[in-house]
Amino acid sequence: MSTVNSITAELISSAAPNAAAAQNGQKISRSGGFQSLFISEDKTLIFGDCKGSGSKPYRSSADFSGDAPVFRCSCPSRQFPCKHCLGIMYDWLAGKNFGIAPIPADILEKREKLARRAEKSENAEMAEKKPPKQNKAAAAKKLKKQAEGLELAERFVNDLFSRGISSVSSAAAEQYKNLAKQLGDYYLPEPQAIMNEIITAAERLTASPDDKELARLTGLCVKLSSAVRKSRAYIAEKLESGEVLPEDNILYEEMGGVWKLTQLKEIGLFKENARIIQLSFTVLHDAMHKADIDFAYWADLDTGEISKTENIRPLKAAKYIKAENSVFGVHRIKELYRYPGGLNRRIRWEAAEISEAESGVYAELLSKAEKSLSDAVKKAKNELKNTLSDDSTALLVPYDSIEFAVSDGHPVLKFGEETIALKPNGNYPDSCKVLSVLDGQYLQNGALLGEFFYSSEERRIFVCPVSVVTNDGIIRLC
Amino acid sequence: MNISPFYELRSRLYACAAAGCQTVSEDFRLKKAVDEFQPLAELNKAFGKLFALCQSLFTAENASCQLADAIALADALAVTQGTFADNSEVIPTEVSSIGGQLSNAPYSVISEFCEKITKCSPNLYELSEDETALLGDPRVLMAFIKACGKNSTYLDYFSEMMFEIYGKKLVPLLKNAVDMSDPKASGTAVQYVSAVSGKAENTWFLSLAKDENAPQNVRIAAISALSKDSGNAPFLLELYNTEKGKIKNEALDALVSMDCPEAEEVITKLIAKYKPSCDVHIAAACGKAATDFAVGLIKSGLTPSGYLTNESRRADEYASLLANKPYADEGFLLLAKQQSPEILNQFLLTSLRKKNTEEYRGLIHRLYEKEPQVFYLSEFFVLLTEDTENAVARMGKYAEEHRSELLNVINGIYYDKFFGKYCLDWRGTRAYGRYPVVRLTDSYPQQLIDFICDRRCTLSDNRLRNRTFSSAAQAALMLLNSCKPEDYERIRVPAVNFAFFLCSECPVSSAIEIISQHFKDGKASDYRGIITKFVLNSLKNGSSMPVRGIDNFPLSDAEKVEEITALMNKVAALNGKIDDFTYNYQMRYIKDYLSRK
Repeated sequence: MSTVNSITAELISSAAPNAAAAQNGQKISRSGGFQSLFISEDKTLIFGDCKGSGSKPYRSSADFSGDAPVFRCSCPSRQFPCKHCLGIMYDWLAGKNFGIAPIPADILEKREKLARRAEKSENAEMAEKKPPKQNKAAAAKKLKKQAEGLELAERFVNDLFSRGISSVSSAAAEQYKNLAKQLGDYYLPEPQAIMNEIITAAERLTASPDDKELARLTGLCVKLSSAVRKSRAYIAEKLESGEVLPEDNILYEEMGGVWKLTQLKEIGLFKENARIIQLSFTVLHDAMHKADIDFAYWADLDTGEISKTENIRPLKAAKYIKAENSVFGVHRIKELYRYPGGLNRRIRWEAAEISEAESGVYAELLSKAEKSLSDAVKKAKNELKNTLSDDSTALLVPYDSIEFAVSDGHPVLKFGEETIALKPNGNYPDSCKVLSVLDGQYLQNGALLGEFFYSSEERRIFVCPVSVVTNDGIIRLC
Repeated sequence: MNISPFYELRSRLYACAAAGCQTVSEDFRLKKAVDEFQPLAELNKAFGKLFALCQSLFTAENASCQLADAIALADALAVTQGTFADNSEVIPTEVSSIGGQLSNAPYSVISEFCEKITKCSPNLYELSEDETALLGDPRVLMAFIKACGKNSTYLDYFSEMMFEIYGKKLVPLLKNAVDMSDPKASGTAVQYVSAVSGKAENTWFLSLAKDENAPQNVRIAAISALSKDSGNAPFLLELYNTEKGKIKNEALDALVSMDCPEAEEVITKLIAKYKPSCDVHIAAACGKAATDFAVGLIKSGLTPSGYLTNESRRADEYASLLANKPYADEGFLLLAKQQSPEILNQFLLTSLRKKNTEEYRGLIHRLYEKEPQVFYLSEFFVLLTEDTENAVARMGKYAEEHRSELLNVINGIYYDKFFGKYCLDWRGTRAYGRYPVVRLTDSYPQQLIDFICDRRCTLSDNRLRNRTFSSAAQAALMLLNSCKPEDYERIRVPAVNFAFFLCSECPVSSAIEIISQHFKDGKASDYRGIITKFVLNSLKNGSSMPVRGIDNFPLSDAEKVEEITALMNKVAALNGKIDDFTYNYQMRYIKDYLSRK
């Protein structure tokens, strides 16, 4: 059981259904919307009456007696929690005067109901403790179907390489589109998305040739070809061995598989009592999947591992999915689930305790940065050379200074005797410019979260700056 | 080890993928690249594997798979061969004191604010406290740099804040923001570079002005920036002689706005072949030839007694010709009889806004000395910028005579939280705005408080007296609501006393608002009778006043009803003694209020 003392600005913004609701809550608090404010004696509940558009004031409360806060309000809003509940928490944060009052009877009744329900579900859980039975036959059937689909995809890539990527006729494009459509029947959404992307880009390229675009498209075809071949081998091996259930392999997701947290736990992909902090947050647009992605990098404060979170919001359903936001506190997580992957694994969790990041945390983070630039580059190269991995990989690299070239003003990171050029990439196009206006104090003796990437034109490894870590905090460059 | 044969082979593989591998066996360039790669393949195992894959391409029945594999391997090898050291010559970083960069602002807040900036929202004039705190965040700066691609006056005030934070660090970013590939690119970034660095970036302005392929707006802004250095006069003259259209006109305006022999020569020639279309250039000019011509034109349009003839132009047309001319005293004095003071002052202040030089302020002082009744507004504005503390005293008796108008100028003083100073907006000019920011003082001058709350009014005309007190009460209320927190008490006490005085002497609604919002330390009994006094006084002056101000008084509902009922009885006693219209209106206000309670 926690108390209202656990209310922080971060908790409020993470509880808010969207940024506008949090802002409206703040407005209510600032304008003194609450006519009365009360706190229970055990400090588990704050409640009050807020002036609204209705004839009677709304009774809002935030209840911290359970594992997670419960918000209640008599307003008709469909947003949950509503701006009034957020407003009363802002009032608490602002240090307004809350009179001590007994817990209202209706809330006591609701608490009891909640406790009864929790008890019931706990009993039910105990009764069904047996792990859910995995349907192996169905999994094998699905794998066989996928293998058939992969044959189609392979035919597509081979045909494209055979005819030539830069000369896709409109008739061929139509054929390919039909093929891509068929792939939907074989449980292969990811290869299907890549195929669609290839077809669209190839059509564009035929209309107006462009060397860079051609190289990118060739890369996509190679990636698809590689994915298809590796996936077929993976399926064949699974079917042969009879172990048809998912395992720690990126190919499962590459073929469009969706991991359940329980599955990750079963194969040991989780960490207990993790302490992580967010290093960056941005919203990326994924044209291939027609979605926005709330994308964040996180650092494990114990191991220094850089992970990522992705909240994918398909444009069609964007308004039904809560957008995430940047957070600044240290997250203590009982069970942190880690997806299969390379250097930057995707992570997820169900509940976290968030506490304010004290200055010592940043020093701890700095100590977890890579030991040298050459080590970092070596790690990055190992990741980047894998055809199926992303075009860039993030690492936290230390620096003695970041300086700017006399010739063209590009930033250069220096650590010990080593140097590396910083360059923007498609995800963070402005980050180098932002770096150029940072106060010099932040550009000395810190660490940089950067995406390492390879530029084929320049045949060099570059780093795209994402965030700067100093002893005082994290400066997000985007 | 020279590995260029490897890169050549890689690019041949990509070319093969683009052309199709059906004819790969005939691809002699690929074959040659593979042959040249062989020595490397013998030295390195991974290269050897690639070599073998490439060789199999020429014999395979269906080479597609091999080609994809070869490219994948070549790509992986390219990554491992990638170098990273950068030995460029660098400039050491400077430690400055830019605040707010470690803002820890949530992404949603930053992106919403950045959207406001990139869309050049009119709200950029009125930033909230939270937004002001974000100004040091470098992501906000990037949004501003992006917005510089647009042409919006709403960005001007915001740009001053960015200049204040980043100073000359902004220059390279602004220069990069100019999109030379977009024919419709705006010249805003060039204009701001000019504002930050003056003529220090003259070479860049010259290069843009000379570049015939540069977007027109960019070129125009660069030509305009060249007017800051008189050394550019020969180049501007050349542009004027060789270019056409807007570029030619801008070159002419930039040239004539400088006081130099080349400008005088051009303007003299222009005057010799005068056409009304030349007016805009004569207005832009600041030299003697243009001044003499404009004054001569005004004189020719006047009767011997000094009034405009029927055939002459409108007075404001003449006034516009006098813009930008710091020695146009005679012209303005000639127009003083013709034109309303507001319009003439507007022309003067608009010119001052463009070029706030000592020379131009000198013109305003001289004009005021000769015609104080006409030029007092401009003079007061200039005095506020030069000697804020004593501006009222230096206006002497004109401060009393034109108190209402001066109060309107004073209302333009606002406390800018970002700059930490009281600033003065350009409300006297043709376009309201805060750019360029005129910074006055750190704390609100006592003399101005005394002037606003002065109970004396020597005006005999009741209407003028009411107007003056109404302006004063409004000024006091605005000041209380927007002053620096440290100044609040110093302003509040005299303002509340003044409001009580007005309720008895000259009822204006702002006075009630001051009492209801700012008379914090009063007891309930202090509020009794105020509304009655206020309404009865207003009826005496022939106006009806709504009674809603009482709602904010710390009285119970019953006390309020009691107050208003007593007032109703007193007003009822006036039936027949005041005009019916005023009486009925007042009774309606009162009854409406009582029915709501």
